[in-house]
Amino acid sequence: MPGFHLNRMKWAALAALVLVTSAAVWFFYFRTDDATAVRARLREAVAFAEKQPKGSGINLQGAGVAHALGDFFTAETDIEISGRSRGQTYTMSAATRAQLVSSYFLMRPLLTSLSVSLAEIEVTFHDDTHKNATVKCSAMATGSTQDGDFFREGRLIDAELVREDDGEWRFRSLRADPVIGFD
Amino acid sequence: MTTNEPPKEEESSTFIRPKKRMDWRLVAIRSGITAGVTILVCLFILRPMVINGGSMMPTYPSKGFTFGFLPYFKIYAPQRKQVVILKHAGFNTFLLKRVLAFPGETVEIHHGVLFVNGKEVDEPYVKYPCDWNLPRREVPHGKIFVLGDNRSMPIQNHMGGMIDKSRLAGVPIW
Repeated sequence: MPGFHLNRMKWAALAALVLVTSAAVWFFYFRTDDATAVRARLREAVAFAEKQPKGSGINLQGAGVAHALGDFFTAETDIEISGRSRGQTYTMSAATRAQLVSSYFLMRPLLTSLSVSLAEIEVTFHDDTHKNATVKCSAMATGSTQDGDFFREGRLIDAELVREDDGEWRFRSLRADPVIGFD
Repeated sequence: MTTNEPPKEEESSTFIRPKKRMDWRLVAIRSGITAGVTILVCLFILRPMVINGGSMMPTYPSKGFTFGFLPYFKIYAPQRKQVVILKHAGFNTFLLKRVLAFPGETVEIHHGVLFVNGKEVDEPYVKYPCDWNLPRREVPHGKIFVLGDNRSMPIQNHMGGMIDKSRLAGVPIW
């Protein structure tokens, strides 16, 4: 081809570029180590919260929603949101799962929209088996309430997840504190 | 000064230069380097920021623009009454606040007047009336106490208070 000639050095440079690009693509999109699985589980939980019907807590009490939410938590989960001293041990049942969604997970009971973005995600494993993980991250929740007010709230998330026998990662504790506050 | 001297040889010569051809490869490389350096500078050194919100009025307008100098706190420690940029959540939302107290110090507000370690703080930058009351509390280890300059709203509507020192992101350059 006229004007397109690659000598040995250029071939080597091109090959190195392709290798680096492939490695980057694999690292960011196809890597499936345990930390990636935990991050994916966290994002899955957020996506679940985002797509739930808004506008009323009634819809959230559906058995299907409760069943789906239960898949994110262990049988007993400590939850404390916004530092409002609501730390307690939840023993899962359909009612408490629905209550959990409406009063904690969605942060506000009467939303018309909710979008949550996660950042600064740090995953730490406590043993070699990688069955227990601690996740720290920041979350930005934006949306609007039924009053038409727009809100933008930042939270620092501190969660413990365990990998149960079926291979799924589930929350054993979930704590969300305001990034900034007077207390 | 004489004006009738014959022109020197080199001045009288006529050169015909070939028309320069644009080297597009060089242009592409230079443009790429310029764009890359600009992006890196804007991400890690001088971050352009849109101010959206009135919590620092009248020091900063409710709508405005500034640059954040991000490496500042890798070099210097925060100073009292300094306006700082804080990471809110993620990498795209920041808070603009004023540092007022450090770990181990006590803060309290009586009828809008701030006291740090029991001493009244002179705050000429607070221009709007404020009737806040905040009981005395100690700034925990690893945190700083920040407030905006606009305290005309109820205290529960103001985004301020304790925040992790690690969330200091930089300073506005104006």
